[in-house]
Amino acid sequence: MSVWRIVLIVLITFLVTATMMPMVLVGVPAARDETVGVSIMGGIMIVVFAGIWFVWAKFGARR
Amino acid sequence: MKEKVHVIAAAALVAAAVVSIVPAAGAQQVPLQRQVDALTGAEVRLYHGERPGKEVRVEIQDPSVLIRKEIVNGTSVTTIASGTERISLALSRHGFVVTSGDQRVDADREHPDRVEAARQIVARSNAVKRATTLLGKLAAGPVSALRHTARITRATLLSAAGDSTGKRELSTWARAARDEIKVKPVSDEQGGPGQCWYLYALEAIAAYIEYEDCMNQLYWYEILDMIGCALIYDLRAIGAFSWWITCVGFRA
Repeated sequence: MSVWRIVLIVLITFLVTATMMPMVLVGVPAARDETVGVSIMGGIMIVVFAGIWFVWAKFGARR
Repeated sequence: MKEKVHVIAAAALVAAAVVSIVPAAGAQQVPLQRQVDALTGAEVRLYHGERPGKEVRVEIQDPSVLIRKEIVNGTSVTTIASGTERISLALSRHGFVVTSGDQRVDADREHPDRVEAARQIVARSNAVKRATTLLGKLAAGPVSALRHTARITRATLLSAAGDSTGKRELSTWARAARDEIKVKPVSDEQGGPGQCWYLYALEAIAAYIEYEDCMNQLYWYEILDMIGCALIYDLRAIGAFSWWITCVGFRA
């Protein structure tokens, strides 16, 4: 596990969340409330971060 | 020989007529948005910017009445059709014009007698009565831009007929909305994280609506333009998200 790997995954997570949140805000009006919106945003971040981490660990380590 | 010339001339005329009619039929404007209101069963259609000078048009229709509101060269024109009756009210900064059947009244501040004549035409109209009833039902539903348009249009029609009910309703709604906004987003007097989220959500929603509008104007094969729409959207979305993180980080 290297630092640059974590930085890269965090960056991708940031970009994916930033792209998805406006769609969520339009599609789910309840997300305009701060508590709901930030919860959804956190959920997206965790899922994306864990997903990339898992895929990288599963397939990226092969040489 | 002379008959042949007549036949050719007639055929040319028919061809010219077909050529002029077919594009007109094909140019039938497609609504940008179409929805059926659950409360009233009325169909609402929104058109935007396809005809020069006509920036936006909203049509509200139920089986008894069609209400069309459009902005034409800076003038707000409301047209109501019900049965065989058709009445139109054009409002501009110079005054207003009421047209009903073969009657037309141009009213402005310099001609108070015409204002009264116009008011009587609107007040007598059954189409206007049906329209204000439908708009009143529409305006009673949950908050949305459509319901606010319905509320304003109803107030305009009632005012033109000399009835101040619509204005009072609009005033009551404005006071209630102002109180609601006061208690909604701000977490503290200086503007806390709640204010950050509120402003972020406004920008994010605007970005996505711009993206949808951009994509709606494209055909499926205009791939490069679609990428352009997506790129602009992503820049706005990432910018808004970065701003939110900074806003919360500094103020929380």
